[in-house]
Amino acid sequence: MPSVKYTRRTFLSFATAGLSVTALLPGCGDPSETWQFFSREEARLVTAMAERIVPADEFPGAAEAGVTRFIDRQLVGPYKRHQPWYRSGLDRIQRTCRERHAQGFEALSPERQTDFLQSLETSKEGAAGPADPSPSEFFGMVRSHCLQGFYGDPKHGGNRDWVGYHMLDLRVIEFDT
Amino acid sequence: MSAKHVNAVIVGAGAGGGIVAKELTAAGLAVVLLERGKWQYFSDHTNDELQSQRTTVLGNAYGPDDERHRRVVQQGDGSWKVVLPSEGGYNNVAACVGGGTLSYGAMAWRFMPQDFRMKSTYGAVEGSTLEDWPLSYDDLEPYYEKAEWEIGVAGDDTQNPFAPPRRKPQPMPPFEYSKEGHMLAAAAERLGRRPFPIPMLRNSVPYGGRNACIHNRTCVGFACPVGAKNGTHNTVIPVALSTGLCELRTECVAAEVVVNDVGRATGVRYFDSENREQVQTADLVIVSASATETARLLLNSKSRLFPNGAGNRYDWVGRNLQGHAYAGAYGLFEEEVYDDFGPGACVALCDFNHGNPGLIGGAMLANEFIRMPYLFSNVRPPGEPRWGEAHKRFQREYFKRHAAVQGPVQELPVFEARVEVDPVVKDFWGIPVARLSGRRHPNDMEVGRFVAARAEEILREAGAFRTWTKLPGSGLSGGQHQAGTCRMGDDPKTSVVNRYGRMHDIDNLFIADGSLHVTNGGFNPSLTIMALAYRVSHHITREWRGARFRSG
Repeated sequence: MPSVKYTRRTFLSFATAGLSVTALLPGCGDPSETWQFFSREEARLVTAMAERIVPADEFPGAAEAGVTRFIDRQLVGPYKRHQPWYRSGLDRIQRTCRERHAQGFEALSPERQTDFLQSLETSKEGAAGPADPSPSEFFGMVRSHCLQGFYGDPKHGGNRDWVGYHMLDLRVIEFDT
Repeated sequence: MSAKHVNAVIVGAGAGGGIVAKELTAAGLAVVLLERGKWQYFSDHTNDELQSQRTTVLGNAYGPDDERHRRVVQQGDGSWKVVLPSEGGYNNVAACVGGGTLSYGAMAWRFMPQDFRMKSTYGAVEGSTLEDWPLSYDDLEPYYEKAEWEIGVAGDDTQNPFAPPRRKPQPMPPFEYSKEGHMLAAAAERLGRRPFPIPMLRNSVPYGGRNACIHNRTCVGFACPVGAKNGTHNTVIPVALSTGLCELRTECVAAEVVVNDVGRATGVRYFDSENREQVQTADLVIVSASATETARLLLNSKSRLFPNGAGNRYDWVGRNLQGHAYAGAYGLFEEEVYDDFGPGACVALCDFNHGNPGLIGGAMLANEFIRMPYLFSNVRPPGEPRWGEAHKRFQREYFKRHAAVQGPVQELPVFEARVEVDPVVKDFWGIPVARLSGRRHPNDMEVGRFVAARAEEILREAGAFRTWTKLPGSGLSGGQHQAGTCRMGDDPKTSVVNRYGRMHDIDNLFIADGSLHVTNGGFNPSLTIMALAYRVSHHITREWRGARFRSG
């Protein structure tokens, strides 16, 4: 096995992260972003949900970290099998939200969005059909994918500039291979 | 295309098969080593948490892939579910040259003498096929030593008062403790426990022409960037290849051990890297494909004398599937305990492997490997939010202020916990897939609760202000420590192979992997798999000199 040289690049701790948060409104992805699986509307909804799952505080949240791009990219790759769940699940969320609140999820206040997601998480409702997830299953999947996109390797489209590591004050080790 | 007849064909280039290839070629036998995966390197996946063998959400870094492989797993309600290799229920072991040893945590445990005599030590247990091994610790001791020196182990058993007797020390000095390791060792000592550095198949100093460990954070689940982790891929397999007597064929998927009408193995039918069907004939066949895949291959090997699969006359192939019921605890600390000194796991104790009042067996306890950020996002005390602001705050407050202590509870074998072949589902090559079912013995959960409580005591003594336990579930076992499906024994009616890993019914067919384990110890099993592979090989080469297995 050939030995591999490695180099370590230690990043400065992310003391200035707070500045960049205010530059972007939470929930606003880059409007010029093109999606491989999501429609524009779906991407907006996923970004809004993701931002509640990993909200911006003194560190960037899911929207700024590119979590939607991470999920979109996986849905045409390793998560291809989850496409039907996303398609039907997102549609169902938006419909339920409009029924309950007379507006789409993105338009709700952060507090109401959180309440809504909590109701999904603990929902005892069944699945809409045999191939569909229950609300809590769907939420559980989206939650996992958001955390993967925020804390995983940036090469998959999320964790922009290793924000998930900087927040932990965890040295980023990159290997020149 | 007909391949040249060889002395031995080995299925699986993992912990067992790699060693058999080396030992047989050293004795002058011509060998073909079939491996379903390929050579893999650190550079293929570097330190990508989401595609490793630890966290597999985006696929297994070192195989098998989600496209061509499936298993069927029984759910809690009795229904069957098709699962992908990257999903937890698959019970995966890596598919690459080196098998699990390329990316394992590399703990180098010898089982204790009692682990070979579980029935004699604890008596028969209802609901379990608990049995003694047909060999003792003393029988295996020389082979443990060989594994330690040839593959390379760092450790110092003199610091472990419960360590079994040995003739030679481990070849490399033990690893230093991390900050967390020092803290936990001191706490354990204050409680009267006997902590010591975990023996590791990893270089504490340069060894065998390979580098010393650089204490990478991403170790378990990852290949080593500097080759300091010792597996069969960077030790015995290169030695086997250097003899010129071993042909390693990668991306070759075994479909069947061919058994003729008089009940002898004549070779292996497989699909090569271009998916062409091939047969490799040989005087001997050695299967070392892991407890699940070895059983599947044998069950798929139907012949006139063995219509239910090779060596399966008494329905024992695939039975007694076991792994480890991991149990332990987490603790939160006011101060930082994390110093980024990989791989994290460094201190262990064996106070609770045996002699636990009223209990059968136990577990070694050790601090846990570093939990990477995504993995840690799922580590939360009961009642703590799983997402949102508080979840994010917890992540940054406690990533460096938490520790975990846990251990692999020795499971009691259960006859109904088993590998079968699915009657319907087939893989990419049309081979019936493995189907897994069964539940753990209730004893495993009871021991788990005991062991978790001991782990929690250590964390509290170390200063944790909040602790919580992690208990094993009662469902199917297996996992990376899967074992037991081709039990060794003296009685052909209640075991699959004899004490040398040879099929009772097919005298030129051998097993050399965790399938052999009668019981699986309260320890990570790789060093035991390696020791057994040396022992099986020694038997084969000794008998070979007597011309026993040579076909005309």
